[in-house]
Amino acid sequence: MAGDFGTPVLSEARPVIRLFGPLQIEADGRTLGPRDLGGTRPKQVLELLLVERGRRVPVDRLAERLWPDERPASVAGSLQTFVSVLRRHLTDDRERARALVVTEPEAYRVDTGLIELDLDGFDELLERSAREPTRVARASLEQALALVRGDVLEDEPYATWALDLRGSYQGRVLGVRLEAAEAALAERDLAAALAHSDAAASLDRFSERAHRIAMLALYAQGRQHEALARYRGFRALLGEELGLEPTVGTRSLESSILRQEDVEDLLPRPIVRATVRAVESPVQFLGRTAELDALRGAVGLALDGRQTLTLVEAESGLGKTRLLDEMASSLDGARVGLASCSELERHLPYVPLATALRQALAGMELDVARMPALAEVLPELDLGPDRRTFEEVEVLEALVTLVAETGPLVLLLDDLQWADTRTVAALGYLRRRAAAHPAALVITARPLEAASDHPLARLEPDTVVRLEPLTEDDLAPLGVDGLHAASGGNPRFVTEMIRCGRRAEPPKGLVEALVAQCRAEGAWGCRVLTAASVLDQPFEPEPLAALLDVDAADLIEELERLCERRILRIDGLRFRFRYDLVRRALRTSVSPARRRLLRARIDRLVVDPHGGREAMGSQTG
Amino acid sequence: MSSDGNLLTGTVFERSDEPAYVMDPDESRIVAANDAGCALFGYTRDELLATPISAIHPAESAELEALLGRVQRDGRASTIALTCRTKHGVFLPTEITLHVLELDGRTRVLGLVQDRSEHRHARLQAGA
Repeated sequence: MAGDFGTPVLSEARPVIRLFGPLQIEADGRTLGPRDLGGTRPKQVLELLLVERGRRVPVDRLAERLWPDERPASVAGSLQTFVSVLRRHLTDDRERARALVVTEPEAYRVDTGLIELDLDGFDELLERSAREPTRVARASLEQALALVRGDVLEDEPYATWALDLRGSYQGRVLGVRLEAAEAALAERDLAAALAHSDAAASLDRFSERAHRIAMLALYAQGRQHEALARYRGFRALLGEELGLEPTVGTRSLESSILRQEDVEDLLPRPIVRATVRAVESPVQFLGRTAELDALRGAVGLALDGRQTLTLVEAESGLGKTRLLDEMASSLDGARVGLASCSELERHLPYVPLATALRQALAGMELDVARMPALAEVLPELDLGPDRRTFEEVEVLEALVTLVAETGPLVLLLDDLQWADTRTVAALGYLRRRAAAHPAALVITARPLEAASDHPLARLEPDTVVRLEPLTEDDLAPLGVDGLHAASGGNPRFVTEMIRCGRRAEPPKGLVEALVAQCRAEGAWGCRVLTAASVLDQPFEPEPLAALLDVDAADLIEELERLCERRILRIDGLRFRFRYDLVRRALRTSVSPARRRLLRARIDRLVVDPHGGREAMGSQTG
Repeated sequence: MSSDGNLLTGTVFERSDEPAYVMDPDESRIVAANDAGCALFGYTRDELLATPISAIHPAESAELEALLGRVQRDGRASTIALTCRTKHGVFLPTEITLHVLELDGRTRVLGLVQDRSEHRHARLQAGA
């Protein structure tokens, strides 16, 4: 199955070291195994350093692990010898060997920046899969599983220092198997779902989720009897060995199979990529006339054939994102790409730039043969069998060609302080090499994080727009007494106070902490979450759409985004809060009067499913 | 039990079936946990509060440190890449969501943990 999903994860440009299975090192066209490093001790030294993933390992700790019972007379001398032997066997290049295995005062470390470690690749794919839509996540999970050649450090089965790492990765591999099984189920690849769930159950026979996925896959294949037999087998295992019954969820699945319920109602749905779009805020866009004019002026120059770079600088909550949304939604007919940078993705090259380009170039045919290096930014571009790795300068030149041939482009990049270094470098390169080509680059950043040593400081924008708190005059159209004094003109606080209609004080305590972080999902996201918290779980999107007086398709898009944000989860054809605690916390934050009104509206919708749209707007805003 | 031990008393968390923990990020200790949280790891409450977080996440100190750094900076962070070791040595694949909060002027981290494998044995060991 793994062969169906893309290219290998580990680049062969650097030495590849594999800790899954027996130790294996691939470098300079050679493959070294546990017996090829000059002896057991040098090999163990390397493994001990790799276990620490690049951190400094004091000589004392190495000695403690290498000689748990009795240390040699000269620990330091012995270690120096082992390290020297290890370096000689790793590579013939002495300088490179010393750079790989670094000597520090009273310690050693491996420079993990010079190697490709399979465990790092596995972790990155696993973490990435949690933020990806199902199809892409599934590919990431399959790639992660393709790295697993066996248990971690299989050549050291008895070393106590290897046990925790091995156990931790056994747990992670089990988790990846289960996620892959569920993703396959969501994509209706039932054979793969069954294979993964079987593999998961063999790793952990008490994993109820593994058995439940297998039951579902069998039932969806029309193998009802086998699904029920699987349930009976698991129930017997639990009863005989642990004296337990299956949980309600598993028993309920058995009942559904016995009743021959429609399998489509039981299977999970795939998460699809949420599109970036400007959404209507419950609070009108206030003030910012001069700032919007400055941005429009810069974009106007780009449309006339010039390149401009505009920096919008503001503290968190002052409305950078909203300003970009307003800007994007007002540019009819232009090729506009809007992307937000995420700290979680700052180690992934070009992600925000790629997101913005995909949006700006949607529907266009690109001449990939003329700029093949663009595939390093947009890996989905098909280069055919001759695909190779490109130098960074080739990628940057491809971007210049792209701008020249597809401009004018408007690229809006939010929170650039969290961008990866290659995206920032690409912007700097475009500034110099594509100055004569039409492109409006609009970036936002927080001033403190874009300190003088940050690469952002070297971009030298044409225009800097600084957002300040809104003035009392800006807020006057809202007609709320004391709003400016209570909010300090901070747009985020203004939005919260208008929407919630109460509580100007900062959140305190457990419940308030969760509520505040749901609010960070934006006005629309928070509104959806708050209304959903009042519904019985799991909930269907249609009644919620009626409750909010919005289009169901738009709502589902937001619900799927909130699933990607790990706040909601898909439950068959319905949605539910990932943590019921979060739902309860949100529900607690809704005033009793508002809750009662929402419940009354829901009850009316049950009686008259078409009566919701007209009356709802004034109660949830 | 520390003075934080009653943090969850009377909250929606105390009665929840979902594991919830309050951590002191400076001391790397759990200072409060609900019943489901104790059961997930197979500890009694007193045992759990006496157990350093490093014992629940052995071999993951760097990842955990990075996660705590993220939550203290952003207010919220989640991961599916960490495992939790139960008292009985089983490594559970988990989804961990952390929220930073201020309680009585002190910074605490609320941790919500889901066992992604729904491994039944761990809960049995705790008598749940």
